[in-house]
Parts: sequence; structure tokens; C-alpha cells
Amino acid sequence: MPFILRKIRKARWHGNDVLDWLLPDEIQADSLLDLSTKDNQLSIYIVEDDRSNLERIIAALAGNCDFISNVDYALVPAEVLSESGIEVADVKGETSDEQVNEAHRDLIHLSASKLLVLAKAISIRGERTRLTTKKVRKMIGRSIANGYIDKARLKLPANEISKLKLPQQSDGTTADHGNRINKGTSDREIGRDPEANQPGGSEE
Amino acid sequence: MQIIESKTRVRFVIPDHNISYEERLSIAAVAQIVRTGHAAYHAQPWITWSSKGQAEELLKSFSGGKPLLTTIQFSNQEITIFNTRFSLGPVIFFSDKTRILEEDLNTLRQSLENASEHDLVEVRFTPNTDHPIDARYFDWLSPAERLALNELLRTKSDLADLNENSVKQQFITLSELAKDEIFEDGVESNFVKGLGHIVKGAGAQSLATLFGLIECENRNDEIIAETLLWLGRLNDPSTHQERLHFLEKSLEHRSSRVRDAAATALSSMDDPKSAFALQQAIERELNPDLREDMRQVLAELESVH
Repeated sequence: MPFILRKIRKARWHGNDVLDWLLPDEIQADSLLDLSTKDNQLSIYIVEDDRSNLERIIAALAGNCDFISNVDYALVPAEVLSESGIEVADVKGETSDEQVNEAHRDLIHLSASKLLVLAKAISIRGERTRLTTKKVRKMIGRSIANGYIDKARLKLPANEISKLKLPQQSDGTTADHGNRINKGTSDREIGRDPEANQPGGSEE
Repeated sequence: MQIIESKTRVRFVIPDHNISYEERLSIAAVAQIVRTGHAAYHAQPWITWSSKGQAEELLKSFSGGKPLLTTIQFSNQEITIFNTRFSLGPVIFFSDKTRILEEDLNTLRQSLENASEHDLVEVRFTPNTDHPIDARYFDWLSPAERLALNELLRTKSDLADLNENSVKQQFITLSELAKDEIFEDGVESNFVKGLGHIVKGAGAQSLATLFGLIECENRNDEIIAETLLWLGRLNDPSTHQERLHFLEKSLEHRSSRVRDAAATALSSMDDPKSAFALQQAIERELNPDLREDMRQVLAELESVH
């Protein structure tokens, strides 16, 4: 079962264990800030059921920012969309990784009640994960080294790109998209076991 | 020499050898200083080392090519006569019609382009050689002149107060505007851009005003969190300790959102010194999710060598 991925801010999803005014099973209204729609549409990415493209999506999203920061994201089983009657449109993404762009979708014709169903799914059934800045930086570096990210299309400013630690090759040079490494390495890094498939977990 | 001895109460041993022409000129100049508090020096180009912000202001002020009045103040000037060193006290120099020459402006522009926020930048001033540099020695001025000069300096101090109030007002206005803004990780918000402008304009000391505002006023938690995240990313070694301390304190904030931002900001600062504060925050934290994120930061900080 594939997943849908949406970038969030985890703190907006804290529940009534820390917010004493919030009733059990309710979500704070600020959660909806992470689901703000435009033209009743919401941008998401499809993560393969084995999560093999998860790290790549996160690296591409982070590379599309003004600066490198932590990335908080929510993963929800994609069946939520069919269960709640949410329509999906294939719309290419605009990151610097073409394959990630293919995994982009727009959720369309969203009503407020459908959005609330999605919010509740994220709150109750969703996995909400944080990757620290250091981990994200390494992921972008790996995506560049593996030739997934087109460095020239990164939105990050030059001073942020200079902070990336690109993996060293055996000849001592730095790998980037000009020196493609076999794409199979990505499978090795993120693993096949969903439990061991947390992005960033294999880098230290 | 009698004037100098009576005014300064310093006793000099007159040497056996002949007194040179330069020594006589120097003695005459010091005698005039202790008698009137005034001195005039031949104008020559000089160099100062300024912070990047100050250098940018200087570039802006002098770019028009118009000569400007420039002042330089020293807390003390010492002088030696006949091997006896003594103090003339604080002094301020007024250089009328000073310029930064076109070639020096170009060098300055280049230096600013390459400078990081905490670098000192060399600025070369060229005074008008037809106009001597006027000096005023506070300890030797007439009471009326000293009063006038102190008044001038008091105005400067009032300006500092005015500056603090201005920072407060700008932060409050910025926070009001930011209530309609949706913040996103990795995206520079208008609020953060505004914070950058405030600190750039008012100097690093304005951070203390921001800390005070966050601590004392009941502001929007989302805006406090955004401010903390920005504080963690600031690349300014001169304020590192203050920011670190403030973020560590913010780990005790009543709002889980602010505590979360404080831990994330400490991760950006990447200083293992905050490991202890984080460890304590983890022990206090009731939210298991936030506790786990804090542990992640702690593990990274503990791996920093």
C-alpha cells in the first residue's frame, strides 16, 4: 500500500497530552495550516509501499527551499484518499529531481469536510516524523552524488549548497550529478524493510 | 613646562642634553592642551576597522562623494615628555570635510561583498589636508565647553534609548503583521526577513531587546517559535553565547510549540554545550513525541567533536 506524503510542522499536531484545552480525539485548528489549499487543491507526493523513494522525495523537497532546515513530514496510507472520496490529479512537481516530480499529485476539488477527514487521518493513522537539519543536509548531498538532483536546478542559495557534504569518491573527488553513481545504491541505503526504512537512519 | 607641571601635577626631570626642536614643539602642544583643552593636528588619511553593518552605513553615507564631518573618540591619550609618561585623558577628534576616495569606496564595496556578518572591514578615510583635525581633551576644557560636549554625548545616549524603543516598536509591528503569515520550515518568511532587517539596522545589541520582549510579553507562540528558529540559524559568533543561553531557557517555556522550536534551534547551533540543558528538558518533557525529537537533537550534539 503506497503512502501520501505531506510536509508539515510536527508541533502543530500536538494533541491533548500537552494542550489541556483540547478534547481527546480532537485536533488543534493550527494543524490545518499544514493543509492550506489553493484553488481547493493540495500538493502531495506518493511514496512507494516499500518507501524506496522516500529519502529521494525528502531531499528534493528540502532542495527546493530557501535554506536547509529540519523536515517534518506526515505519511498516511493512500487508501485514505479513496475512502474519503478525494480526487487525485497527476500534476508534475517542480523540484530538481525529475523522478520525484513524477511522484507529485494534486488533491483536487477539496471540500472543507474532506480536508478535515485528511487532517484526522494524519492525526490518528499518520506517521509524523522529523529529520534534523544535519540528516537532511546529508540526504541532499547523497541525492546530488547519486545524480538524482540536478544541482543547477536547486533553489537553495550558494551559501547553503556550500554546506552540503558530498560523499567522497575513491579518487578523492567529490561526487555530484556529473559523476553518476549506480542508482542501485539508493536501495541499499534506505533498505527494503519498512521498519528499517526511516530516511537518514543509515547515514551515521 | 611650568604650565604642564602645575596643571598635571607631574614632575619632569629636565635632561642634561640639548632639547630638540621636535621636543619643543611637543611640549608647546601639550602646554596648549592642558591650558585650553584644544589641539589641532595636521590631517592625514587614517584607517579604521568597522563591523560589516557599520561599514555598510559608511559606504552609504560617503558614496555621494560629499565630504562629511567625522568624529573619532578615544577613552584616553597618553604622552611622554622627557621619559615621563602621563595621561591627557579622553579625547575626541573632529575631522571636517572627510571623504572616502573613489578607489577606497571600490575596495570597501569589494570587501563588503566578501565579508561575512562577523568580519571586521577596513575603511580608509581621507581628510581635507587644508583643514587641520581639531581635538578636544575633556579633562582640560573650560567648564562651559565640557558641559556643551557632554550634552552632545548625552544626546548620543538618548539616541541609544530611542533605538531600543524603535526596535521594540518594529518587533511588535512585525509580529502583528506575521499573525496572518503561515510559516514553513526551510522557507524564509517575511517575518524573518523583517527580523533580519531590524537587527541589521540596530546592531547585534538589539537581540537583547528581542529577548526581553519574548520573555516579558505574552506573544503568539507560533511567532515566538519562528523567532527562536531564526535565532538558531543566525551566523553571528559575537552573539552565540547569548543566543545559546536564551534558547536553553526557552526549553522551559510553557508552550510545547516553543519548547520544540528551542530544541530545533539548538540543533541548528550545533553546540555540544547545550547537551546538559537538553538532557534536563527531556526529563521534564511530558509529550513523548517531542521528547523523542529532543533525544534526536541530543544524540547529534553528543556526537559533535
